[in-house]
Amino acid sequence: MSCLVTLTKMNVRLLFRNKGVWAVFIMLPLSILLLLNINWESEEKQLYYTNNQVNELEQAESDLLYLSDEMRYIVKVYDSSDAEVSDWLLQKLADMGMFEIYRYDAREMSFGEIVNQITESVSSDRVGTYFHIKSDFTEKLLAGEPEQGVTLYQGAKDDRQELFEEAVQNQLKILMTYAPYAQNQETKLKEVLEEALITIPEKEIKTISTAPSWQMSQQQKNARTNISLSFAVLALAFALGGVFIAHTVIEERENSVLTRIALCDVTKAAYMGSKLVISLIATIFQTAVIAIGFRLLLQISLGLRYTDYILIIFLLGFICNVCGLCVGILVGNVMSANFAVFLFWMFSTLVAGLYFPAAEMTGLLRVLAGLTPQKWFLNIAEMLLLQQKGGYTLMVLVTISFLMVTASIGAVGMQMKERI
Amino acid sequence: MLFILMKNNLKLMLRSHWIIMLMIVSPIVITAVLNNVFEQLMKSYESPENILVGYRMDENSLLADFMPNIKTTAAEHGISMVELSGSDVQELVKNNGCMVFVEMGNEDYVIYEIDDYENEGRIVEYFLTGLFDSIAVQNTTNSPKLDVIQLDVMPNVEAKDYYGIVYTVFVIWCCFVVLTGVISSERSNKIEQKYQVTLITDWKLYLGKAIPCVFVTLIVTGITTLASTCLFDIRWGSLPASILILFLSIAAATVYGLFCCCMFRTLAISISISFVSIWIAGFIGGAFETYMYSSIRTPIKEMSPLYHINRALVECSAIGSSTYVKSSILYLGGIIIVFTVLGLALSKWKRGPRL
Repeated sequence: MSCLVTLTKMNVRLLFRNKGVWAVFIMLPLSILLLLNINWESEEKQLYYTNNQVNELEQAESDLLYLSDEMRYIVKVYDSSDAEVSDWLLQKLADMGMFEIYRYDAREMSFGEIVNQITESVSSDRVGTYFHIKSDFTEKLLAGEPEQGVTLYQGAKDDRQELFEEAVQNQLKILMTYAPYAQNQETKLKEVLEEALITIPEKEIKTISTAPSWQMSQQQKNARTNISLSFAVLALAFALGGVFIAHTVIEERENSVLTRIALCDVTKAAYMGSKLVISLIATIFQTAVIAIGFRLLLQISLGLRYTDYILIIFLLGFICNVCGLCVGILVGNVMSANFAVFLFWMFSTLVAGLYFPAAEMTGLLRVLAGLTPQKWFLNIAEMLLLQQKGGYTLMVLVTISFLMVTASIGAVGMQMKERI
Repeated sequence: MLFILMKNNLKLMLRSHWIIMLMIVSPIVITAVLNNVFEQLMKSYESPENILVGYRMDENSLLADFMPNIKTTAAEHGISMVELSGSDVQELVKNNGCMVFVEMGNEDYVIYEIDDYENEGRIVEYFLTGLFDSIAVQNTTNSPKLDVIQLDVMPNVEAKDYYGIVYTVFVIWCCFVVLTGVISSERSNKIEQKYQVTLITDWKLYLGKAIPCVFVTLIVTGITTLASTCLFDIRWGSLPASILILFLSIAAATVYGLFCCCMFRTLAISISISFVSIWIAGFIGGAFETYMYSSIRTPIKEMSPLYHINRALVECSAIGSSTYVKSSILYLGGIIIVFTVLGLALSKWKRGPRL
């Protein structure tokens, strides 16, 4: 026990003597916290959309890229008509369930402006079809030629393009059927339609969940995005911290300190234990910096209780630190270890789904994500966000499992590199 | 003198086996894994086929008369409708492997969409809504001929092309790590101070590090690009433009790395700062989430050189040309000039006056 304390004291001195440590332990977490305050995302991300409804856009240039849901087909409507019947038509299209309809009231825009905007935005947006309802739509409709009052601009090839075209055709057919009864009056047409379509059976949509559903509100989703981004970047600070501890192992190996330590009746377990203790001290130090910085610098909402978030960061940080330590020991060179840790961290944050929604993960990605601590801690954060039971138990289990695996790899690596 | 300096530095760089190996292997491994996992995600939507729909009919349902027609039309659209009896919908769905369930009421109907089969649910919803709407249409009405304009859009980029290109670029930007061996040896042996008694100029000292770094990275990138192109059949599109951008990226990354190394005395700080800055540039520029689907605001994206480079190379690969080629060349040229001047000035200032 006494040798463990002596070794730890020696390591603390050795570690904090390195100026780089102060940069990684203090400056890096603080700059990361400042970075998290930047509003990276487009404002429209906060725009709420409703399924089976016509969603009104306040700005013509609204970028709809991120609003798209894989399952629905985005249709952006430039409505130049001042017609009630266009409301009816768009509502009917939205009601079909497959299309996400966004309408901009384009009465103030010229035809040229609309076409320009469409051609400019098509390659940077995920809109499937741009639907232009012209100003003379009602007149054309009452004249029996509604197709001349609309134009479809189709984007990237998609099976749903034809379905949307077909849906528009069918709804125009309904309008053409009842337009003659409206006696050339638009207001009358709406009444006629309501009366005629009363015979259509009413539809209701219900959802069956096969797995326990974690339905999040938009606010919780935003909090989740912030949490995952903070996990992504803070993990690097911890992992690089681990490399600095590995640096002490490498230096000791190079300066033959290890041989001298071995001669002093120090067991391998005590030596490895001291490295884990120093890793723990470093993690506590970094977490304390983050905890203070979090209070002083972070202005975004993470949705979690302060103590919960700091606890998660501490445990995730400890695992990342030990991982960095292991990589450093295995690589045996600080500069190469820095690069290896950086690549390893980059890859793991990517497959852990910290940059994109977990729902989009496919089979192999899910398996790989399960091997990363970030993914597990993100799940724990989600559980705590939704106030589900078992979050803390999972936290303990995940930490123990990852620490056991990484520490064992590190111990084997150390054994392989040399004999104490 | 410059040649000897370059030769010695090159030898030192080539001693970092781990770094060179990681630079060659990592883009290939990352591309292989990401191609596998994002292949489906980046494919364009395809309608599901053979959708199994279970339905239950109320005894007095007015929709019963329509059912034979509905079933026939559904079959034509790849939807098989099977009548089921039982009270618990969840049980019926589970036991019969239904992708969607429909309950035909008296004058209404309920569609149960199952979260594992969202796509199928939408198709059935679309189909049934359209079918019931068509009741209101007179058969004599002709289908209107719509004015449809096909816009000129970039075809979907395949995951292998995207990640193959993006990670080659990303690793190029980390190329200054090959310099770390040279710089740490220079610092520990106080070589720069020793050079002050020689006639070698600061410019030559700078080039002595920059040229071998560019040379090593060029070879590493060449091997990586060749290997990933052969393994995954990555399309590079317009070769002259792509090669020029990659070469300029290597030069820019080298001078940026040298600048970071000059800025801080401790190499570990330089490495950490440059990694973090490159990660930020990559995060904004589409190295992780594809730039097409990322929700980061465009003006922020355009601040990152990696966004210009990635976009230029990816568009060259997909359509053979890109408006971003020009901006990425200008951006890279700017970086090379600015960071060379800054790096030279900083190293001169830090070293103090000549002896």
